[in-house]
Amino acid sequence: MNALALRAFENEWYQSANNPSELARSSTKPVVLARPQLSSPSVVHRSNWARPTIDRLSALAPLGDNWDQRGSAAVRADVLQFAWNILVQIMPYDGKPPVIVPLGNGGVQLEWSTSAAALEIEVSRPFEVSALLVTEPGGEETENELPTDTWDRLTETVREYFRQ
Amino acid sequence: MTSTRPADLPEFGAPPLTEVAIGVQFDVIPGLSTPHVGLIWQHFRKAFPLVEEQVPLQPVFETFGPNPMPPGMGLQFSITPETPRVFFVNEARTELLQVQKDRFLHNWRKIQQGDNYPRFERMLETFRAGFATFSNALSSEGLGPIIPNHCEVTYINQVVIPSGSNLSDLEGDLFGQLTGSLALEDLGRPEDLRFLLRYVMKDNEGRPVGRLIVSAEPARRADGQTIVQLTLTARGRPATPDERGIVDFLNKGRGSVVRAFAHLTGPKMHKLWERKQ
Repeated sequence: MNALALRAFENEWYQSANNPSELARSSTKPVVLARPQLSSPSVVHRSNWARPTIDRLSALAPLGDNWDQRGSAAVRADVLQFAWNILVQIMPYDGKPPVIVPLGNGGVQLEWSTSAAALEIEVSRPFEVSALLVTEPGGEETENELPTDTWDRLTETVREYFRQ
Repeated sequence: MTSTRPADLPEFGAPPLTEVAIGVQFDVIPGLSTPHVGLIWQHFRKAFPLVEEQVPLQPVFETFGPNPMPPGMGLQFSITPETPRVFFVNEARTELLQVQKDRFLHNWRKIQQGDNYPRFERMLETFRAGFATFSNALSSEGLGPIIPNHCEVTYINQVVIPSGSNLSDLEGDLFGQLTGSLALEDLGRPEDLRFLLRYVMKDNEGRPVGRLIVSAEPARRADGQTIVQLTLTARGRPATPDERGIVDFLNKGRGSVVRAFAHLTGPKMHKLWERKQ
């Protein structure tokens, strides 16, 4: 699935922010843009989590209505894409792959856990995201909801607790 | 609810616009298939009698964090054949509606000299009427509801090099007030330039909701004319997932686009484009 995108992802971890792909896209005749040919950076980084994560998301995509014999909704393709969008932005290249489980409402939950912390990110629909971090400072379990209007805290949390 | 042009918005009598697109992305509508699109077209056929099939647009999500979304990293996880994107086009081919399983868009485009931009307010009315018809058509087929998650306003300008001039001169006139310091002591001004600017759009509480993206790059039109293409796109989440939220974002995005256009381009070009305020 989407092998070209995966190859690009694995070989060119650091990319520019030039991602102006349009939601609407021009419908007029295309123009030929005079793009200069520049050398690519020679240093590349391989991510450890991308392949198993794409495999897992791909495995969830075929789950249709009532996939669990309990009336759960089919896993939504746009939720899988949004979850991937989150992961691409919050994961360091040496991050632990998340465990990904389908939810009854068509969403998915991304989970990480270590002896020090556990993080759950629930994606119900595009932009409908909640996140819960459980830590045990001093041996006492503490739950914190993390903000999801930006990925700042999620990025910090994954970097702090869930690297390989 | 008729939209009126804000009194303080910069206005140009002859802007270099070649295309404007406004629209909405919504959660994928389960069950929407190609035959449904044909049924939906029946509701638009009188005003948009021509159809074109296009490759579907991939989802776009403006999100915010310390790391930018790497380009080309979107993946597709659908296991069913993709429902195409379909253009419903008017007889003059200057206006169209775009429909796919997670989009409804309205474009105006300049096909030939003399095609005049109908102005945003009229485009918004066409969009709103079309969106209502689209929603009702879906509902009558037992599909929906539509849950909007992103809106977009895009203005595409193509500025032609005047005869006797060159790309460097044109870009100096367009962006000289911003780029004057780019001249090097030994090499002078750049031969040409391209840029991409991203600004974060925020809601009333200061939370990020979208982006204004401005790109400029030299290009060659199909007729061989060298141009500078200046594209301004405002896109992001509506405050509420309904028609009111869509319209509010489109109005806000249009304001950001027009103000940015006026700010980023130079006075010599403004005179040429008949700036009124």
